[in-house]
Amino acid sequence: MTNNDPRSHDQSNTADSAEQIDQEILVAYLDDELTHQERETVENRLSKDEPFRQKMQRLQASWDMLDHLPTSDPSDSLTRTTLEMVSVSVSQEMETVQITREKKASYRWVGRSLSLLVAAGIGYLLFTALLQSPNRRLVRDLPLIAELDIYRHADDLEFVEKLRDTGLFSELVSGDVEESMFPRFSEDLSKRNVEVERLTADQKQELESLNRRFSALPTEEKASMRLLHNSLKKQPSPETLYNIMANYDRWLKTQPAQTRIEIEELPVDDRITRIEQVAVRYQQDQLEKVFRSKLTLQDMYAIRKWLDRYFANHRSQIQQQLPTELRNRIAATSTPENRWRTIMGAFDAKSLRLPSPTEKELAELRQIRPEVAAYFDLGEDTTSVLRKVRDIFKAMVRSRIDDHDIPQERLRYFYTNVLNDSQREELENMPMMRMKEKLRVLYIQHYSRNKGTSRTRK
Amino acid sequence: MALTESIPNYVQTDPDVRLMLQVQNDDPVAFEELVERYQTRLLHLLEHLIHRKEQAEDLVQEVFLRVYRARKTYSVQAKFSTWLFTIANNVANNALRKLSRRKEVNIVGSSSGESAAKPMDEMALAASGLMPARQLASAEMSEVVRLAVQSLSERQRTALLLSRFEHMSYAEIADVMELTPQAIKSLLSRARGNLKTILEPYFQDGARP
Repeated sequence: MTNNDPRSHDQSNTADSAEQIDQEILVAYLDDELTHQERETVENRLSKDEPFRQKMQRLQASWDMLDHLPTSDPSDSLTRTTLEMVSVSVSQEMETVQITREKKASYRWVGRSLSLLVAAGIGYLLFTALLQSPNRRLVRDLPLIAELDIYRHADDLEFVEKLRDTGLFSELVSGDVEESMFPRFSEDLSKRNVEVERLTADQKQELESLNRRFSALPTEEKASMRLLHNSLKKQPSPETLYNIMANYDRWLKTQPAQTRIEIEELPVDDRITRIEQVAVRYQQDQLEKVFRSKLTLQDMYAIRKWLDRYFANHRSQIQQQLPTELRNRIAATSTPENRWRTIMGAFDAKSLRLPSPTEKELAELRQIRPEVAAYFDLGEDTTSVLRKVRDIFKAMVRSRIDDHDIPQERLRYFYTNVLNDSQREELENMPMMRMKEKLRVLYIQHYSRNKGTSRTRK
Repeated sequence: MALTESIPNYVQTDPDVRLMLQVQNDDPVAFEELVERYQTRLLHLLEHLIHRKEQAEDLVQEVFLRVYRARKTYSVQAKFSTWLFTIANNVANNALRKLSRRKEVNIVGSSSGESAAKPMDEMALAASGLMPARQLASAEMSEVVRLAVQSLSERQRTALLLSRFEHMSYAEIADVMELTPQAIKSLLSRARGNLKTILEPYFQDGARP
């Protein structure tokens, strides 16, 4: 390797003067090509030998001036024309090969040559097909194109992180949603070609349509989406952030057009505030759908406990059906609520068939209260019972109601936005503890009413 | 020392090597990725090696064509950039030879077998005659530096550009130029000495203009 002996000679035709040796040593020093010992020797001399030090400074100064060396930017079409040129050249090579082979081939080899040419031809056609600009872009931007709306609505990483911080979109907050039409595409570009090939005709048609929409977007927006995609990959939990984006997109699509437009036009911070307001209201609506029955909050708590017992009774049957990934996720969750979210998610996605409740379990449900028995209409098939249990569970999750209490922020929202002035005045005139108790009662009463009863929301 | 300890695993350490291996498997997207990653760097090198900006893009394309043609015989023996710039160096040398034959390039004499250099005194005079020290506008400074780089021999210039802009070690430059690291050390010493001589009027008293 490099001989960095400070006393070494220049092996070309330059004169072997002491000055040239000094220069060589200094240049190697500036290029960080000296050994530790050589470096120490040079630095020792630099500290004592003023002319030597000045020479080093002049060499460095001229080196720094190379920053001013003018450079050109490549023309916009350079990439395209390079790829086209390569494509044409490959084509010409193939023709040459074909002609040569035709001339030289004996009958014995005709069959083999033809197969080689066919193979080469297929390779070339594949190459040129993929080389067409729209296809190249499609493969490269495939994850963005396939989930165009998710990326468009997400803006940038900062917005996604703020969405995450709201805690609203960690779990799906919308109602029934369509799963993505496409599989998650690989980050490995070479695999994407194969993945696209494997899509069904419908998927390809949909992808084509999305690609047209993507192509029509302004360059800045496309660049911003690519940036978001690349930034996500660098995050510690890209999957979590992506799921938040997906949940947000699905939720946004459930909103009236006017709300969507209003939200999307706001600056990031205002948008987050507005999303929180709208989402909380949405959650309340979801809750109310369930409460339109005559179920009370206490009924729901009882049903929730029934769900836990049901899981305990059928644990092995449920777990056996779950894919390993979900099974591991359940094993890693610390709360029954998270466990149920995962199970219900799989149930919704139809990848899990929940075991029918036993007669004994149905009897337990019936025993909670006659209204509960009526709600479940226990004459129905057991799958329907489980769907209704799922609805209740989801409503509780969406409304942030757990087994312990109504969260403070929900009470605060209820107090500020749902109660009327006279109710608020009544509460304000009560002692603090009594006021809190009364507020909880009003809250439960409010959400336990049937649809059509007097509503106090403003 | 075991062989595996002395040879870096370029497949693991160099993402561009991995891309090139995908190109070897006829992946056009990987090839495009390499084109986009390197075209600007190649353009900067080639435009200063052949002094002809308008032809530099053609040479960039020539380099990539050679890369694509060589894909099936590509074997991982160095960083991808080392292999690529070796091809670029060969392409530039061929182009300069053709230009020289056509007398389309201003090659005046040669020194020490390092062709294509303009006489040092001529270049120094041209550069120093532009403007007094510390009064150069940015564009003029660029021109001075361009002339200074142009004054170097072909090999000095190649070594200098690879060192300065590609941050290559002497060993890597030696691989690209098919010389020994010691020869690169001498080349760079002379190149930087020549630069210093030409540009010295512009940083009198150690001050940069």
